[in-house]
Amino acid sequence: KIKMCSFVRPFLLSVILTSMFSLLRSDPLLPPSTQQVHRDSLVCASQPPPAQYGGRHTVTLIPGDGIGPELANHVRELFRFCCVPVDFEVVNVDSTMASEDDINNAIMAIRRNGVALKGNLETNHNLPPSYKSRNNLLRTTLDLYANVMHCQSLPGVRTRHRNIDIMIIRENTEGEYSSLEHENVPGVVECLKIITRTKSLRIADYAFRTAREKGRTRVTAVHKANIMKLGDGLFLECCKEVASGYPEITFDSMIVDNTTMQLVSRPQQFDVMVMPNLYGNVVSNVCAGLVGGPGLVPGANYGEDYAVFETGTRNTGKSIANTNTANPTAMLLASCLLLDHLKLHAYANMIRRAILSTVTETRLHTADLGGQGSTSEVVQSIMKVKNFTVTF
Amino acid sequence: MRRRLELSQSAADTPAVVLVLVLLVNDPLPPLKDTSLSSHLKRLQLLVGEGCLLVAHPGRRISVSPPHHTAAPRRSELPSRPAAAPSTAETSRAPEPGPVRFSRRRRRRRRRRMKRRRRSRRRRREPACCLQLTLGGAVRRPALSSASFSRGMQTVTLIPGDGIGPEISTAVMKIFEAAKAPIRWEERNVTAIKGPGGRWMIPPDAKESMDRSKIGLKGPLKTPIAAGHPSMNLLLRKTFDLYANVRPCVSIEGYKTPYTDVNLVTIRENTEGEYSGIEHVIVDGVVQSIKLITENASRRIAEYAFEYARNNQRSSVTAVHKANIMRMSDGLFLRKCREVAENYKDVKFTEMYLDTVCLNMVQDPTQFDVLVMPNLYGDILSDLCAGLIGGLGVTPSGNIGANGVAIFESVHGTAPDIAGLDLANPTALLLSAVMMLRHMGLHDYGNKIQTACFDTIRDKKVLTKDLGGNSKCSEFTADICRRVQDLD
Repeated sequence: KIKMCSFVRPFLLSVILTSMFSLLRSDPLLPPSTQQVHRDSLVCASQPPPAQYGGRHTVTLIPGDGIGPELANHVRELFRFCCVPVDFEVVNVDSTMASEDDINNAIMAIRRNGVALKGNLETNHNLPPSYKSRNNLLRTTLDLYANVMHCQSLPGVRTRHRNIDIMIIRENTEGEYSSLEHENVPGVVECLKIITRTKSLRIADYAFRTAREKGRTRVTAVHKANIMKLGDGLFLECCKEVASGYPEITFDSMIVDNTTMQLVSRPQQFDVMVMPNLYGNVVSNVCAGLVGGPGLVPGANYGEDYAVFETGTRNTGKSIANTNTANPTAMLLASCLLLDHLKLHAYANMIRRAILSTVTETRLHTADLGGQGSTSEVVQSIMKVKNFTVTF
Repeated sequence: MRRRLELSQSAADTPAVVLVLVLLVNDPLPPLKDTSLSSHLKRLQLLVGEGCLLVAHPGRRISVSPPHHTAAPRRSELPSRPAAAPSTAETSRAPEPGPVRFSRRRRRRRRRRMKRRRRSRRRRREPACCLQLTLGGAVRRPALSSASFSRGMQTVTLIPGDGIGPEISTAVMKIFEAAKAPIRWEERNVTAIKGPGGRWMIPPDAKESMDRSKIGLKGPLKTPIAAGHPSMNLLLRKTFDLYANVRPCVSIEGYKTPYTDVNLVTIRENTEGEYSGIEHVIVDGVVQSIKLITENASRRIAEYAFEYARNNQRSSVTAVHKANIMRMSDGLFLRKCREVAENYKDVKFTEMYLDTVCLNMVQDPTQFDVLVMPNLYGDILSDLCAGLIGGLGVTPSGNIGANGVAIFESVHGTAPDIAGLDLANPTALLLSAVMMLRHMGLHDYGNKIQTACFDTIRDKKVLTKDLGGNSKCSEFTADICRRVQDLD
């Protein structure tokens, strides 16, 4: 029998209890009931930066072009309303300038803060190839290798297909977007598509890890290995290699043209999809269209050290800029993903709940969903949602 | 002076008429610089004024016979053959023998002998002293010609294919027979055989038949895995330079899909782009795949797309690209499309990013009309559009080649599990055959067969398993034949 002093037992008990407490609850503000509201707390490879200066986080905000600035303002308005402990460092990037100073400043700011919320930067494709796409530059410089888009059917939005729940994980840095082109002979242009083993293994590993953490059962690799035998063949091989380490998850593959055909006829068969860059572009846009359009789906770009959040389909929305008709849902849901990344789950779930109730219950829709509401009306309606309080 | 007046096949689309005129030719006419049809016809008018015998052969030649006293022109006086004449790939010439060293006198005698032989051969073949002019192929045959020049039977090379191919080909032949379409089928099989140079090629009888008939209908072909030779589709594409793949996607009334009112055409560049097949392993673990875009191919496909739009009363052509990322390659494609659009002001031209097209296609496909794009985007988008109307089992497809060759095919697989069980759905091959009839100018037959097919599907009484019924292929075919005969 171990003889203990009278004060040791309660002391030991308190130590054990507090350690259990701190292990179970990473966020002291998190009550147990709000944990299961929306299963969208994404896990990324890195830890969020520690909050400085009294628990407030600093996040880089790149407004972008088109509808970007107005949506960024709405995000800031909503955060101020909800007293979210996030400060935005606004970095304006002028996409019309030839020099890359602006985008380099933005990249520096993101390196400083670790997270960013971004609007899309327009690329004028009539300019010569020396002018690279600013978005692509940002992604490759910061090595944001995984683009994650979660497409879910929302109850209040009328679409042709119901019960869609697809998670698309797209390799974000190589593939067709390597921007390596040359003209050896006048009139003949070659564009290189690069597939590497390390990056394919990395994205496959990310896909399977995410599937496991979210409790998903199936991962589908999308490829065109019957034609591009070496390139997409390597990608497929890497996916198979990684799949062998996750026996509880079913792995299958599908050719990209068959995938698009299946998506428009029976999209319910897909669970998690992993693919190289260009096919990811096509498939993510098809899925976004299936669930209701570009205004509803947020997207996230994760890297080893950084995370950048934006709308899923990366549209500038030039034609509807400054008309107060854009759908703010995608950008606001992206900001919720940002809050989840910063481990501010209470705020994230609260805002998400309010947005979803506006879309599904109040049915206040903007023009792209067939409604009459304007952007500001939707944002006001979100702020007026009943029980819109942070529950601590 | 003798000249030969020869209409190339393209220009001979107008009904053959026997013109008998009396023509007196004194001086040789200056050589033609402009080889367009109108200039040749103007020249004919000149000749008509002077008096000449003009005989039109159904199909190919109008030979003009001036009076007997004129002599044959020298070879240098004849106008040069226009560039767009049938290519030398068709005419298989035996390799000419190498030079033999004879004495000068012997060579001179040899030359005179050959000249005499040639002259006598020419006199024997044609009516005495004919006037011949070559009309150019500058008049490009439009995708849908207005009327076939021949009232007789048109030969079509039929390639039944593998798996369900033979059954659906038989079904199509039966329906054409019921419709009394003037088509004579020439069945050929294509399997890869190793040619003399070690290169894989299609059997020579199939190639010869195709070159003769210019129109083909192909069933599904098996793609071999580890057979050592490339797929048959690729071989056919390379042999006949099938540069454009045309897939009209129209919603079928009676076959319900979530998308109604789809009516668009995807025109895809079929020879280069991402499918050039050029791949290298740079170092272990790094693979580079080359996407090739050339000016000529882009211009050719753009021209075809605009011609198609014009001939089929389509209002707009949209170029699909990703030039924001692939600036040089898709930029080149886009530039060529813009250049060609300048010559077709009656057709509206727009350009759209690939992701925007995908997004909008899935939400509202009615906003698109004709889409033209490079190889990979075309592959993805054409299958996406096929999925909108109900899948590959009901989608027609046509491949247009460089020398007036056109092969229409069904794009679904061989379905070996239902081969021989009379369960196949011949709709895809039938609609491709209808597309072929329209291409040949036999619109009324095409419309008749299409109406019968759509009526059968709309009725829903006799449908094959994939369309939601449980009838056999033969019953479905018989129903369509009956309707075709009723429509007569």
